[in-house]
Amino acid sequence: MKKIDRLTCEETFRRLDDYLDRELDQHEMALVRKHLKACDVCESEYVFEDTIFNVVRKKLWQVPLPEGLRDRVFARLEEMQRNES
Amino acid sequence: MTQSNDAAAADFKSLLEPVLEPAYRTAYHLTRNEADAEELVQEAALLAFKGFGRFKPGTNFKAWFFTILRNRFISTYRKKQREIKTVELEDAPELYMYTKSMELGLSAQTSEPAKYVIEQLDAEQVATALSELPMEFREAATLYFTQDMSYHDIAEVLGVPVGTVRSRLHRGRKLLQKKLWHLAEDYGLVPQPGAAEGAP
Repeated sequence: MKKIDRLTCEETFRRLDDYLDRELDQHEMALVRKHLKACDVCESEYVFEDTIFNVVRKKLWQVPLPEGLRDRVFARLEEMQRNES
Repeated sequence: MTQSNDAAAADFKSLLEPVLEPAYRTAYHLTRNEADAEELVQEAALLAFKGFGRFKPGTNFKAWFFTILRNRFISTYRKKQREIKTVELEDAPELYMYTKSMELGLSAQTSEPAKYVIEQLDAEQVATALSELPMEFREAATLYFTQDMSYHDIAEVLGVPVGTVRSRLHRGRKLLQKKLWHLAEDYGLVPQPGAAEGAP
C-alpha cells in the first residue's frame, strides 16, 4: 500500500497532541512537520499549544523535595528491615 | 537479615532514590497538601519495599513505583479529596485559549499571547486549576504535566489502555485551558466576557 505523503489541516490537527508529545511514528512525525512548515495557521496553533503546555509544566515542576524527606523515608525502610529480620 | 535480603534492600534503595523527588512532586499535586504528600510518598515507599519481590528487574521501576503511589492515593487520600471542590466543567472546544486570545486581539499585541496570559498566573493558581479537573482527567494530566512519562508509562500507572490515556489527556488539556482562561478572567489578566474591548 502506498504511504500518505501529505496531510490536510484537519488531518494535521487530529495528530497535533501526539506530535507535541512525540507519540507519532517517524513517518507521521515527518508528515506533520512538513505540513506545519507549509501552513502558517496550523503552525501558529501548534506553537500556541506547545507554549501553553510548556509554561504549565514549568510551573507545576516547582515543587522541591522537602528537606530531610529522603532520610526519613530511608530510616523507615531500615526500621522495617530490622523488624522483619 | 540474610545477605541476599541485604542485597535486595540495597537494590531497592538505589532504584528508589532517583524517583523520590519526582514522586513527591506528583504526590503534592494529587494531595494538594505538603504533609499528605510526604506521608503518601513514605507509605508508597514502604509498600513498594514490601512488594519488591514482585518487581521484575530490568522493567520500568518508576512506572511500577508510581502505580503503587497512585493506588495508595486512591485508597487513602481520595476520601479526603471529596472535601476539595471539583469543578465539573462542560467540555471545552478545541484550541480554547488560542481562539479566546485571537478574539481579544492579543496576538496583535504580543508575539506570544499564550505566555502573556499563563505566565501571569502563579504556580499555585495553575496547580489549583489542575486539581479542579474531574478525577479521571486530573490523574492523567497530573502524571503528564509533572513527569516525563510516555503515554505507555501513564497507561501502566493508571492501569488503562494507551488509547484511554490519549483521550483523557486530550480532554483534560482542553478542560485545563478553559479553567486557566477563567482564572485569568477572574484575576483581571484578560477582560471578562462582555467587558470593554481591548486586552489589558
